Amino acid sequence: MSRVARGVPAAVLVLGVLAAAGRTPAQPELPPARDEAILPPAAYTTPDGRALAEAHAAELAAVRADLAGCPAGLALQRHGIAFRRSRGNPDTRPHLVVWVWLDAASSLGRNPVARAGDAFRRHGQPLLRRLLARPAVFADPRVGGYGLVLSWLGPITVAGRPVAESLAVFADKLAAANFAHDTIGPAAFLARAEVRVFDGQTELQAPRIPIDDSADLVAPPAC
Amino acid sequence: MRFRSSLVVLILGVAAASVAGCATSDQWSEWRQHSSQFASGRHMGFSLRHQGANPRPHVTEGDVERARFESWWGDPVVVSPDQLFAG
Repeated sequence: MSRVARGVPAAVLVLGVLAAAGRTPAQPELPPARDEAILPPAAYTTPDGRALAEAHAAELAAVRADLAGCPAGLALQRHGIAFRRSRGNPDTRPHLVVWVWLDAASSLGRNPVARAGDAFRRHGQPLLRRLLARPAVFADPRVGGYGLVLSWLGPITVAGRPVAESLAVFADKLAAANFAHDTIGPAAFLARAEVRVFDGQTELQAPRIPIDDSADLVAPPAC
Repeated sequence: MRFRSSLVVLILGVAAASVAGCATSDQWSEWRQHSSQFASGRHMGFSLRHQGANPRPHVTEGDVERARFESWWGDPVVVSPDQLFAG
């Protein structure tokens, strides 16, 4: 075997090791793309959602700016601000939805449903108030209501990967407004809303969020 | 000389098997969808902190925020938008 031929396997081995370590040279870190918090109109799959995103682009940007001032421990999901329909109720009009990540201290409890209740107790009403603070969206008859998706990292891992738990709540405008303005309590609100809880990508069936109207809502730090 | 060539081939095979054995087909598919192994240096650091069969999670608030905005892939297991939204 020639020297060149002997060198080929070695070069392949080196390239293989390099590929396993990193497929491209180290990239310089870029600042977070905060514009990615809003689902761009081109990414919508339905014309009515896209129309709402275009008509209320300034309102969505205001929501993002409003939430950007919230305390550490609350971060927006990429494309987390959008007009969406719930998969559980796809015939409704699009809802203004915000999807945020909470730190672990915002969702305490012995199981995912208990942690969902704690997360909602802390963040549900303040977030809905922020969404309802956009009167142009509230007054738009094409908007069906509001949605919150709260995600946090749970205590378990699967195959070494952390598992996030999530609470999704969709409500019509009237229920959301009543809860935001303390006309109804959290239990009454959740009874009128569509509530879903996920442990990773596994949906928990018929979750009963342990919260009652006599319990005090936990006020999160001011934004 | 033939012995040395066989040794190199053996080393290559072991290296390939060790790398391939660490990833599922889904992980390979996900890996192929990106032009680099990691989204950023912080993503690489986070991944290296969680190597092994059952690593103890160590996730900071900064990790979560960076992961959202830099679109890290691979972690964590979370509900997908398709499960939540119809459109």
